[in-house]
Amino acid sequence: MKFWILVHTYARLKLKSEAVKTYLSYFWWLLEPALFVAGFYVVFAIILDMRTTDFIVFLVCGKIPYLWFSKCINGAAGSVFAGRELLTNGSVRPELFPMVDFTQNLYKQAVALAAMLAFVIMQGHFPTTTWFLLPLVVLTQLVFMVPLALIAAWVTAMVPDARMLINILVLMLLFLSGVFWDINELASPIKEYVMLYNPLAFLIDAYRQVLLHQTAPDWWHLGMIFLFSCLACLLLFRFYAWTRSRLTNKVLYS
Amino acid sequence: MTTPLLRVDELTVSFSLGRWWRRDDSVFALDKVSFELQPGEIFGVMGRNGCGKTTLLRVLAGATQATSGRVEELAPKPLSKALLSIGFGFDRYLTGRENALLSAMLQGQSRGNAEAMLDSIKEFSELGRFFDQPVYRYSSGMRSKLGFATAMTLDVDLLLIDETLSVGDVGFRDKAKRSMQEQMKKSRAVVFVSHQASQVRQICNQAIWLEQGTVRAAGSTGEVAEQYEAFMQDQKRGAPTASSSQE
Repeated sequence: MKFWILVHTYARLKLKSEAVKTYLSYFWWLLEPALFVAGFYVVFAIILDMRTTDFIVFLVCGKIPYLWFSKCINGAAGSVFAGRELLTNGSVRPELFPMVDFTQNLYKQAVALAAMLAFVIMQGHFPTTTWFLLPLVVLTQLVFMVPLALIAAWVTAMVPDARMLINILVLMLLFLSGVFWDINELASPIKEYVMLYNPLAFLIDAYRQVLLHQTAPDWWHLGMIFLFSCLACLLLFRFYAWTRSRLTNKVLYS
Repeated sequence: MTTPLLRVDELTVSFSLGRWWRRDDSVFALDKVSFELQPGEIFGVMGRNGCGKTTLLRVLAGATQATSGRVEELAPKPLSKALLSIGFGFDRYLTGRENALLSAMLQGQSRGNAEAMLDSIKEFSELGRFFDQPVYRYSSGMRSKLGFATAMTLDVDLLLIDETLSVGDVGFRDKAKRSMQEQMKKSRAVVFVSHQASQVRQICNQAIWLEQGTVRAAGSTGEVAEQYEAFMQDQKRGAPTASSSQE
């Protein structure tokens, strides 16, 4: 419990430190995702003329969850190395750094998510009872990303080259997860394969099912992602404890 | 005779100098270092830059593991430790108060305990209203005061200090020295590391001199400091050193 209170306090203070460095301060939490969505809208809706009546709202519901994913994984990737000065203190565990970075992104995402819901309502998709299922989708995405963030942080600390690969993989997932195209338009069995092997594609689709189509996500699939992610979290925290001195030595002396 | 708090036995830390495809060249940061730390002792470690002082502190803090040898804790319960080094992880955009809170929590204190310590840290640090100002407005001496005040208020069994006293004004240095002596009375131990023999001489009772990762002298601070200072004088004059004559 003490570890998680430290994670929360550290993340909160880092967010404050980050905010005072810029003129627009906390407003960037809203502005940054809004600018990303605006950029995508210009490319796909205006230049490529892929405009459907609901394209912008469809795009927002995919882009905001994807941005959360990309920031969590890319941010975690360099976090242990960035925190190496503090690792000289024996009471600091290396997993603290990816978890602090993750929590910072979680707090920012809460604001972006609220803005996303407001935007969806403004576009005429009023809340229905299925909206109550949204917290489960968000929670599953959160739990799904924790082990990936821990893996990205560990691998990058041990082999710095992995950071390049992680950046490329995260970018590839932008194209493979149906952010600006609808995964349901894929033919069978490709659609099923993408959904099965890319949980991010399933989760992005689940956001849209709940918010735009008033449909519950596939519970079995959502539950399996949640369960396997929880299991992976437990294993990875054990793995971090097991490799703690090896990881610290690597970061401090290479 | 009292039981030592800590026994360091043939501690060796080595690194490979080669890249991943060629790992044959090794350098010894510490080579079979042994000493004992008694309760209530301020133990000095002196030596030139790169002699292995910081590596020794990191191993004692539990941050890194030795290649061979061991650090044996002989106290009945596990020792709480704090490592204090210059500019210890301070975020320059956060206030002294926020940095002190975070620092205390990173050293293993609960949030409640850390918050309860803040008034004492403010008083000890002598920062006054600067305590609630961002750290980028601090001089290096003020940063050192904040770091030292946080570490001294932590109430740990073993305090590890890395060259920190070299900054700060004379008045604060005296206060820091008194505070370390207070720790001594509470049967806690301090390991103080410096490249300046004069600093070690001022506050430590026992000391070792590290040179190229090995213990070149150990015993009472006066004797060890004398040998270290003579060595440094030889170095300045360009006379052959003991290590080169051994080779």
